[in-house]
Amino acid sequence: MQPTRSFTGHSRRRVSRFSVRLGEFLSRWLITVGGIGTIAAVIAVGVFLVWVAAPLFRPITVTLGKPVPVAAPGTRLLRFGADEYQLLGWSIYADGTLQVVRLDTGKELDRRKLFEGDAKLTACSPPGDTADIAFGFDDGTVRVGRVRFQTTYPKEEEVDDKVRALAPGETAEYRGGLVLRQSDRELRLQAIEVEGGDAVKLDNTAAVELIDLSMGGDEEDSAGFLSYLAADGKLHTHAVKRGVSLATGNPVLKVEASGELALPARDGHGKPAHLLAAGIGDSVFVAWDDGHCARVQARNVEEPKVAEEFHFTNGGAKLTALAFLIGKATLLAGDDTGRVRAWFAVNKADAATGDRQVMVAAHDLGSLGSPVTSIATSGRSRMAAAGAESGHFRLVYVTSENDLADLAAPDGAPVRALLIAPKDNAVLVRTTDSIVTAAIDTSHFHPEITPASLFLPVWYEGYDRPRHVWQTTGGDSYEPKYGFWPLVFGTLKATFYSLLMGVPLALLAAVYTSEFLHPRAKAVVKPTVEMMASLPSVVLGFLSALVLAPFVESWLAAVLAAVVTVPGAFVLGGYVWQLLPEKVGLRLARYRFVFVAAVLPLGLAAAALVGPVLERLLFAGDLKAWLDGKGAAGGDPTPGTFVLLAPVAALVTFVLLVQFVNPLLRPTVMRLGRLENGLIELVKFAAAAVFVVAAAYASALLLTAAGFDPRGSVVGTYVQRNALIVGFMMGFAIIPIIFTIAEDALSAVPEHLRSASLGCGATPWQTATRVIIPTAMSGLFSAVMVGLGRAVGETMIVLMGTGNTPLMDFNIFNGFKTLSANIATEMPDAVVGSTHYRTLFLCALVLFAMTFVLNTVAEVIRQRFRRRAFQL
Amino acid sequence: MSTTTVPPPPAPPAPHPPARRAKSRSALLAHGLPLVWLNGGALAVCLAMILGLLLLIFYQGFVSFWPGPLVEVRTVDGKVYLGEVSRTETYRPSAEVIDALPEAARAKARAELQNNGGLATRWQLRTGNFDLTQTHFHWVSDFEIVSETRPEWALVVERSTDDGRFYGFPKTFLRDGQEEATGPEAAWAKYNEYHPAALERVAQVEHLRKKELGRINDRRNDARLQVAKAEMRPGSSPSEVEAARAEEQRVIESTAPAEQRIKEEIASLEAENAKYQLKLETADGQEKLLPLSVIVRAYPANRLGFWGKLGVYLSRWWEFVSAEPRGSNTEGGVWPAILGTSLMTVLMSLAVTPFGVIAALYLREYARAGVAVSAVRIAVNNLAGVPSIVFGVFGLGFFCYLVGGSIDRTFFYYKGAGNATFGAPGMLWASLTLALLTVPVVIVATEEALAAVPRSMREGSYACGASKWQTIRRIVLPRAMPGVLTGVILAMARGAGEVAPLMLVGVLKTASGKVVDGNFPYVHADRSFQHLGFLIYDVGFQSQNSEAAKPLVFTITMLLIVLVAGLNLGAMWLRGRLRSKYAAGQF
Repeated sequence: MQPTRSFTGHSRRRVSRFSVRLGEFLSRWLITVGGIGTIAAVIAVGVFLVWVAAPLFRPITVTLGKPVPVAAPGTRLLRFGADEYQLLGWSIYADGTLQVVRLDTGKELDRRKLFEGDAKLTACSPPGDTADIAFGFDDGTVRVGRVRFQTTYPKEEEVDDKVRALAPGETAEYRGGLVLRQSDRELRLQAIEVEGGDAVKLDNTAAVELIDLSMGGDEEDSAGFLSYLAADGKLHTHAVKRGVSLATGNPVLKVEASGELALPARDGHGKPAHLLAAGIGDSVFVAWDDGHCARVQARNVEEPKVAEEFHFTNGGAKLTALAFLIGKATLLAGDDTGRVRAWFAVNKADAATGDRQVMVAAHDLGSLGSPVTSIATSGRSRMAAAGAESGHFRLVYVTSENDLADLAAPDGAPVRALLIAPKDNAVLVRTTDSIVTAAIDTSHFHPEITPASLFLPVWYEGYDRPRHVWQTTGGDSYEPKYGFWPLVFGTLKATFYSLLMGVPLALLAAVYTSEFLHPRAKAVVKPTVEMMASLPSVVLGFLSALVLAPFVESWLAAVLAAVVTVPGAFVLGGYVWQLLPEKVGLRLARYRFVFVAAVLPLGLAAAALVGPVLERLLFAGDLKAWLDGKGAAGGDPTPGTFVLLAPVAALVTFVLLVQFVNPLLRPTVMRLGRLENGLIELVKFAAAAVFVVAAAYASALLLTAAGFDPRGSVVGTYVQRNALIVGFMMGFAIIPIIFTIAEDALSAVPEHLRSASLGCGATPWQTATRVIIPTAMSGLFSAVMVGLGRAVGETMIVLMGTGNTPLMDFNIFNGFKTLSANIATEMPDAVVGSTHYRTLFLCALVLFAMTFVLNTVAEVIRQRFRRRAFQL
Repeated sequence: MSTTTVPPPPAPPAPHPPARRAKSRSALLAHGLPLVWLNGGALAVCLAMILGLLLLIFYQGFVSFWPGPLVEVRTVDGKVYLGEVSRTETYRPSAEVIDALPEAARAKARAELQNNGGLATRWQLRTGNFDLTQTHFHWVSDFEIVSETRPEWALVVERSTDDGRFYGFPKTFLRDGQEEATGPEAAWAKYNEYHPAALERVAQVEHLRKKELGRINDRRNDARLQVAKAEMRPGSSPSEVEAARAEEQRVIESTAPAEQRIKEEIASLEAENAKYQLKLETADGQEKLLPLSVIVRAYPANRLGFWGKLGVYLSRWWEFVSAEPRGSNTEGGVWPAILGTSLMTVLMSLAVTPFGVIAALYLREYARAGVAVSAVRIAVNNLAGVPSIVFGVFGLGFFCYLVGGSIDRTFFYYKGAGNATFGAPGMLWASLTLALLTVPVVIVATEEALAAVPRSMREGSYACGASKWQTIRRIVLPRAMPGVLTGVILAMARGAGEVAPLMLVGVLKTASGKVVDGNFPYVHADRSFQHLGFLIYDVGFQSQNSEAAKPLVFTITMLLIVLVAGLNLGAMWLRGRLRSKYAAGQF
C-alpha cells in the first residue's frame, strides 16, 4: 500500500485499529443493505399489487391435443359427455346405444343398449345443469335417467397385481372403469354409472319429437320441469318431482301438474327443430330451422301460453344450433353462416308481448365462417364453445365477449359435438370418428375480465341495455359483474363533496391563521388543528354514521340553511365591524378572532330558525317529500332549482360588485367619513342579498318553464347515509392536512415581501390577496392535491357513512361505494387467486396509482415552490 | 377582481392636508374586512368542529357509565314500561299515530299537539328484558303518557348472558327452590349477602374451564398433531407413527383423572350456584327467575344516592378496562382489545424503528446525493400518503397468503388444509403491515433529525480522528435521538388508530384464541386479535343491538382518542425539547 501523503509532506503514522475498521466496514455494509432493502420493500408494495393483478389480462393459452380415433356405430350422435378428470367419455347414439371410451387411447370400454323393448328412441334432451337425461320414444313414452361418474378410492389390498404395480400417474382398466394411481398410497377409480331409465307416467301416445328436462338440483326431492313436443303438434308441459319407483326401487320422476298447448301453425316451414326448457316451469323455447322461435311462458304449468315470437337469425340464415348458457336464461344461437349470438329476455314496460318481456340479441360472438354444428356451454361459468362444419371451433366467454381461442380440429373433419370439461379446463371436440382434447391453461384463467369489460358498459343478463355494474356475489350460476366505473365514480363523488367542504374551510382558515391571527393565538391554533390529523378515521366514520347521519336527517333544512347563514353571518359581522369608530376598531383588532368566533353561534341559530321557515315556505314543510317528488310542493321543481341557483347567483353578484359597482362607488365613498362609508357598504350588502334572491328565483322560474328539474340529477330521494354526510365528515378529515401544508406555504413567503407591501401602503388584506397568496399559490395547490390524495383513499368514513351500494348517481342525498370501501368489504370473502381476488387487487392498484400520482405532483410542485420562495 | 384591489391612484400633490385625510378614509374598501371575517369564520368553524367533536366524545364517553334513574311509564293503552331514558327527541307525529290511540285519549292528544304546533316529544326507553319482549327499546311519546313514576325498588340487573339488561322489581329470594325472603327489601338484602360468593364461584368455574381444562386440551391437541405430523412427513417410518400414537394415548390417559376431577369440581360449583335465585317481577307483571350466577351487577337505581351511583360508575369503569366483553360485545369490558391494540403497536414499533432508522441513515449519510436519492425520497414521502387499505391488501396477499402460506406448507403441513397457522390473518402480519405503512413516517422524521445535527459537530468529530461510524454512533445519533423517537411515536399514533388494513390482515370480532395466554410461548403472534378501533366499527356499526352499545362505543372511542392523542402529545413535547436543545447547543 502506498503511503498516504498529506500536503505537509508527512506520511500518516497512525493506523486505525482493526476493530474500528471492521466496525466501519460492517456498519457501512449493514446500513447500505438495510436501507436499500427497506426502501425496496416499501416500494415493492406497488410491484406486488401489479404482480397479483396482471394475470387478469394475460392471454389464455389453449393447447390442441392429438385426435384420438373412436369407433363410430354409424347412427347419429345425440349426446356426448366426459368425467371431470377427462379419463372416460361416453356417447349416446340415435339408436339408443351408450358407448364408453377411454379418452387417452380411444379404446371402447363398454357398449350397450340403454333401453329394452320395441319402442324406438326419437328424442333426447340437450345437456342441462344436472346429469338427468330425458328420452322420448315413438310410442309417446318418456323415460328419464342419469349418466354419472362414480369416483371411488379402492384399497391396495382389494385390487389385482396389475393395478398395484401402477406407477403414480399411470392408468389401467379395472372393473369397467379406469383406475389411476394418484400417489404412493392412493388409487382412484373412475367408473360410469347409468341410473334409472324408468318411464314417466304420462297420457301421451303420439311420438315424441323434441324433449327437454330442467331439474332444480340433484337432491332426492328436487322439483323440475319437463316439456316435450309430440308428433300431433302439441307442446306438453309438466311440473315434476324426483321420487323413487315403488316397483323397481329406481329413481323416477313424478308428474305434479300438466298442461298442453297447440303451437301456432307455420305452413311450409316444417316441424320445429329445437326445444329448450328453462328454469322450473319458466319458459320453453321452440325454434324452427329458419330461425323462427316461439317463447312459451309456462310459469303456470297448466296453462302454457306463447308469449312472444321472434327470429334468431336474419337474412334468411338457417338456425343450426341452440343451447342454454348456465342458469338457463341466456340462449346461444348459431346459424349456417357461422354466426353465434347470445339472446336473453329483458323487461320492457311497453312491450307488446304477453309478459312485458322481449328477447334481445345481447352479444354477438362473431362468425365461424361455416355452419355452426354444435354449441357447448360450461357447467360452472359463462363460457361457451361453438364448433362448425369446417372443423373450426371457438371458445368464448359470453359476458365479456372475450374470444379465448380459435382452433380447428387437425383433420378438418366437421365438429359433431363439443363439450366443455366439467372443471372448465378443456374443450373436447367430437368429430364423427375421433375425439380431440384442447386443454385450457387454468392457472391464470380470468376470461370474464377484459379491459373493455372493466371500463365499458357490458350487457349483463336481464338488463335492458349495456350498463356499468359492480356486483360480484350471487348464486352458483350468477353472472359476476366487474364494472369498475361505479366504484371509480363513487370514489370521485366522495372526493368531490369532501373537497367542496374541506378545501374552502382549510384554505381560508390557513390564510387567516398565517396573515391575520395574533402570533400567540397561532401558536395554539396550529398544533390543535395538526393534532386532528391523527384522529383515527374510524372515529369519524362512527360519528358520521351514528351521530351526524340521524342529526342531518332530522334537521336537513337547517343544515342546508347553515351553508348560507354561517358564512353570511361572518360577512355581515365584518360589515358591522366596519361601523365601529376607527380607534375602537384598532384597539379591539387583536381580539378580533374572539368576535369572529362569537358570530358562529349566531349563524347557527339563524340556520336553525331560517331553515324550517324556508322549508315551510318553499317545500310545504317537507323537504324530503319534495325530493321524492311527493307532498304538497312535490310537483313544482322551482323551489329546489332556486335553492341550487342561489350560490351561483351569489357568486355572480360578488363578481358584479367587485368589477362594476365598487369602481362606481369609489369616487363617492372617498369623500365620506368612515361611518357613512360603512353604512353604504352595509346597504350595498343588503341590496346584494336581495338581488341574489331575486335573480335566483327569476332564473329558477325560467329554468322550470324550460322544463328543468334538478331532481334525478344533483338532488333526489333522500337516503340517510349519503354523500352529504360523507362529504362533511371526510371534509373534516382532510382539513388538518390541507390546513397544515397551506399554512406552512403561506408562512414560508419571505417576510421582506410582506414588509415591502405593507410599507408601500397596502392594507393587510391587499398584502394577503395580492402578494402572499400569489407567491404561495403553488404551495396551496400542493396542499389541495395532498388533501385530494387523502380523500381518495379514505376507507372507514365512507365504509360507515354510506350505504355502500355501487351506484352511478349524482344525487348528493344518495349513497355510493368507493374503491377503498369495496376492498374492505369484499376482500375477506374473496378466494385467493380467483378473478374476484385479483380484481380487488386491481382496485387497490388503481387507488395506489391515483394517490401516488397525486402526491408526486404535489411534492414536485411544493419543492419548486420552496426553491422559488428561497430565491425571493 | 383587479379593479377593486388596485390601490387608489396616486393623488396629485395636494397642498391641502384635508385632501390626504379624505384619502385615508376611503381605504375601508381596501381593508376587505367582510372577507377577512369570512376567513376568520372558516378558522372558527374548523376549531368549533374539532372542539365540538372532542367535547361530544368526552361527554358521551364519561357519562355512559353513570347510572340513570329508572322511569316507570303508564301509557293510555294501559301498558306499563320500565326503563332508563336513553334518548329524547322532538318529532312530528303523523295522523295515523294519533288515530291508533284509544278513543278517550285521542282528543286530548290532538289538543296537546295543536298547542305545540304539531310537534311532540318522545323518549326512547331502554326497557331491556330482551328474553321476554324480544326488544331492547321502546319509544314513548308525551301524549301517550298517563303517569310517570320512579319506583323505589326498581332494579337494574346486568347479566352475563346475551340477553342484556333486565329491569324489574325484586320479589323473593330463593334458596334450593325454597323462599328464603319475600318482599323487595328482604330479597335485596339476601341478594347482597349471597351475590359476592356466587360471583366468586363463577370466577372459579371460569378459571377451571379456561386455564385448567384449556391446558389439558392443549396437551392433547399437541399430541394429536404429533401423530398427524408423523403420518404425513415424507419418509417417516411406521414405527415413528406408532410411537406418536402411543404417546397420544398416554397423554389422554394421564390427563383423564385431572380432567375428571376438574369437571366434577365445575359441576359442584355450578350446582351450588344454581341454588341461589332471585325472582323478579317486571313492570307489566311477568315473573322471571334469575340465578345469582348470571347477574354481574344489580342496583336499585332510584334508591342510590350520589355515592352509590359513583360506586356503580367506578365499578363499571373498572370492568370496562379489565374485563372481557359480554352480551355479544355490547357491554362489559374491552381488556382484550386494549391488550391487542397495545401489543400490536409495540410489535409494530419494534419492526419499524430499526428499519426506518437504517433507511434514513442510508439516505442521509451513506447514499451519494443526486437525482436518484431525491427521487427515492419523494417516493418514500408519497408512500406515507398511499391509502392504508392498499397496504392492507398488500399485507393480506403478501404476508398472509404468500409468506404465511409458504411457512404453513413447509412447517405446519400436518395440520391439514383449513387449519392455517401463519397462512391466515394474525397479529404478526398486522404488525408488519402497519410497520410498512408507518415506515415512511419514521424515515422522514429521522432524516430531519439527522439533517438538524450541525455540520460543525461532525467536522469536529472527524477532526479528532473518529471514523464515520464512530461519528454517527457517538455524535450524530445521540443528538438525533429525540427526533427519531418523535418519528417512532408518530408512527405508533398512526398505527394505533388505523383500522382499515387490520380488517384484512388481523382483527376479528371475537378473537379465536387469546393472543396472550398462560401457555407456551405466551404471546401467540399468529393468532388474530381484538382492536379498539375495529371494535368501534364492529360494535357501533355491525352488531344487531348497536343502539344499546352506543354508549359503550363512545367510551371506546374516547379511550382510543386518549391513546392516540397521548402519543401525539408525547411526540410534540419531544419535538419541542429537541428544538430548545438545539437552540442552546449550537456553536
